[in-house]
Amino acid sequence: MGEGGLRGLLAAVSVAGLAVSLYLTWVYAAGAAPVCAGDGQGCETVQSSPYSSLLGVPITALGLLGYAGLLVSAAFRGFIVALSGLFLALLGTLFSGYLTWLELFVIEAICQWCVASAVLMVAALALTALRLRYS
Amino acid sequence: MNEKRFAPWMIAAVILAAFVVAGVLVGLSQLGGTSAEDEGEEVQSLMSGIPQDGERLGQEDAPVEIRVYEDLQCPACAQFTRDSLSQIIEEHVEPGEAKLVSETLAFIGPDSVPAAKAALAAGEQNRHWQYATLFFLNQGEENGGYVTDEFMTNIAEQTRGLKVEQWNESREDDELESRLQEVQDTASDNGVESTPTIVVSGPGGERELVGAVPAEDVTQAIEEVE
Repeated sequence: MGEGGLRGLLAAVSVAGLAVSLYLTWVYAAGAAPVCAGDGQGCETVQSSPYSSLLGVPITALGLLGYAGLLVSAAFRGFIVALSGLFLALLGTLFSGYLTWLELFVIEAICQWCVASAVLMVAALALTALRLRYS
Repeated sequence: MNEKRFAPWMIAAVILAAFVVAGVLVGLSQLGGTSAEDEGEEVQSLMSGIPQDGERLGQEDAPVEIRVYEDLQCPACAQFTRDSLSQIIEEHVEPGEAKLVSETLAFIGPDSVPAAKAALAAGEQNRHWQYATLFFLNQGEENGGYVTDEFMTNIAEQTRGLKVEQWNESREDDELESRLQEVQDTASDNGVESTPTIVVSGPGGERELVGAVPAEDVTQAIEEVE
C-alpha cells in the first residue's frame, strides 16, 4: 500500500475516532448515560468514575483533540506532518492503554466505546508508523 | 533534505516525548483519582459486577440470604459495615453463595427517617448498598443533627452511577413512608430488638446474629444453614 492509501486509511480511522469521542463528549456534557450494549452499566460506571476527567476536562475531549490532530496529519504530506501524527497516535495509544488498565483493574467496569476508541488508536499508531517509510 | 539525515533521531525524540507526555497525563489522572472521590470509588469497586435490585445485593437465586436490620444512624451498624461487610461481599456474595438484603429501619431518632428514605431512594436506581455504605463510612454523631440535605446529597454525589436529580425526586415519594412501616412491622414480627441484627437463612435453617459481629461469625452461620 502506498502513502496515499495509508493516509486515506488514517483519515478513515480518525473520523471513526472523532465520531466515538464526539458522542461520548456530548453524553458527558449532557449528564446522560452512554448507550452500552449488554447490561449497559459498564459505560455509566466508567463515566461516573473520578478518572473520567483530567483537571476538569473530560477524557473524551482529549480524545477529540487527538483524533482531530490525526485527521489534520492525514490531510497533508511531509515528514514533519507524519512525525506529528506518530507522536499523537503513540501518545493516544499509551494513554488508552492506561485507561483500559483502569477499567479492568481499578473501576472494574468496561465501557465498549472506550475499548473501541483504544482499538482505533492502536490502528492509527500502526498506520502512522508505516507512513514514515514514505515520508 | 536535512531532515532525512536526522530522521532516526527525530523519530526517537518523538517517541520519547510521547512517553513523557503520557506519563504526565497518567500522573495527573492519578492525582484526580485519589481525591475525596476515593471512598466512592472503593465502594463502587467492591460492589461492581454484583447484581443489585432495590435493597438486595447479590444473585436473586443465591442459596443463602443475609438480612441486615439496620438504622443508618446506628454506630454499631457503621462498625459492622467498616469491619465485616467487604469480606462478606467478597467471600460469599460475589461468588453467588449468598445475597444481602438491607432491612432499613428508622427508629433511633427523627433524622433516621430522611436517612432511610435517602437509601431507599438510591435503591430505586439499584444503588442502595453503595449509598448506605458511604453513609455509614461518613456517619456522624447519633441524633447530632448532621443528617442535612447537604450531607445526604453529598453522599449521593459520591455514589457512582446515581442520578442525583432522579434520587431527589424519589426521596419525596409518599410510598417510602409505608415501605419504612413495612420494614418496622417485619422487624417487630421477627422480634428484632436492636441493630444491627443479621438473620442468615438457607436450606438448613436460620441463624440470628446481633451486633457488629466479625465476618467470620457470618461465615460460620452461612456454613450452618447451607
